[in-house]
Parts: sequence; structure tokens; C-alpha cells
Amino acid sequence: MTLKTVGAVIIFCVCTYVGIYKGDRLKKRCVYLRNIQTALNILETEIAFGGSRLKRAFEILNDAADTCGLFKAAAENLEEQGIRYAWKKAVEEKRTKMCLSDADIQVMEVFGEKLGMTDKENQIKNIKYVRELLASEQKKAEGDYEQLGRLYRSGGVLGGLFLILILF
Amino acid sequence: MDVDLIFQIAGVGIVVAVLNQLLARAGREEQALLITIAGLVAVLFILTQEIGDLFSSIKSIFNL
Repeated sequence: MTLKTVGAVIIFCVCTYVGIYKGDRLKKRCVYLRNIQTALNILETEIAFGGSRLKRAFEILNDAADTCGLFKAAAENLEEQGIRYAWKKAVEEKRTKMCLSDADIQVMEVFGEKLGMTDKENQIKNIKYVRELLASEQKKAEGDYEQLGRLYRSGGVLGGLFLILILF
Repeated sequence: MDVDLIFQIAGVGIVVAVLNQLLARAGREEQALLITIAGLVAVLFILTQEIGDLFSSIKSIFNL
């Protein structure tokens, strides 16, 4: 009897945790997409008015917006591997931590492909374009969170109850 | 018949109903239907023994 109760409590706790975790990931995605946009804003200013080198600009961005050290990771590999590869690697590395979807990753890769390749005006154009894409992704992410966040949280609790009722 | 069984089935019914409403509100009607069917199958699975007993008692009552 006691063992059964302990098992039921464990199942309930695990299911609830999974539900909350999934809901939380949706929220984190919104937050990080917003932070990346803020960072891109600062990068635009750095390129347009500061004229900083990309590595220095990335280090500034890392301190300015919480992006799980995405820009720092890119800055670390920038000199050895080149910006395109360094950016791609940093995005892949931080992807799970930032809870980004495939569509977000594609947008980030679009950003990396043109980064540091052209003159100042084109760089700014590229940043603006990527920011627009990220803004639309963020809108979608917020819609997802509104719709699915509550579903995941209560679904976890109810799924746990369902399993307990079926098993015991 | 065990009274716990009735409570168990009632519990499954309540949980499935709430899950169904949640999924329908989130615009996932297909999954809501799937959950309802899963609940039905689960309850039928719990009841197989009882249904078997019912058939055997009917057989014995009517001498079939």
C-alpha cells in the first residue's frame, strides 16, 4: 500500500514537472527572441556609429543582453574559424539552452551568412531584415505561449492523474 | 462488484473531460478526440473482466 502511494506520488510529480518544464520552454523562447532583437539593435548602433570590430561588438552585446552567451561563444571562435562558421557553431551550441525552434535557427543562420561580408549599409540592412524576421517569429512564439503554455501545465497535472487512475 | 472500480472510472471520466476541454480550447481538436478515445479504451480495458463475468452470469441464468 505504502509503495503504491509512493509510486503514485512519483508519477504525479514527474508528469507535473514535465508539463511545467514544457510550458516554461515556450516562455523562455519568447524572452530569448526578444533579447536577441535587443542585441541586434545594439549591434546596428555599434556598426553604424561606433564602427567597432565585430569581435569587440559581440563582446559588448554579450554584456548588454542576456542571450545565454551566444555572442560570446561566436566571438571566441571568430578569429580562428571565420564569422560564418563561428556563428553557426555558436547558434547550434546555444540552441537548446535558448529553447529556439527550427524556424528561429534558420533566421539566425540567414543573419550569419551575410555578417561581416559586405559594407556598412548592407550590414545594417541585413540586421534590420533579420530583426523583422525575428519579430514575426516572436509574435508566433507569444501566440504559442498564450495557447499552449496553460495547456502544457494543466496537461501535465491531468496526465499524471490519468496515469495514476489507470495504473492503480 | 468492487466499489473502487466505480470511483476509478469516474475519475478517468473527469480527467478525460477536463483534458478534452483544455485541448479543444487550445485548438487541438484532433488530439482532444484522441484523448477521449484513449480514455474510452482504457476504461473498457479496466472493465473487460467485469464484462466477461456479466456474460457468464447471463449464460448461466438463461441456461445458454
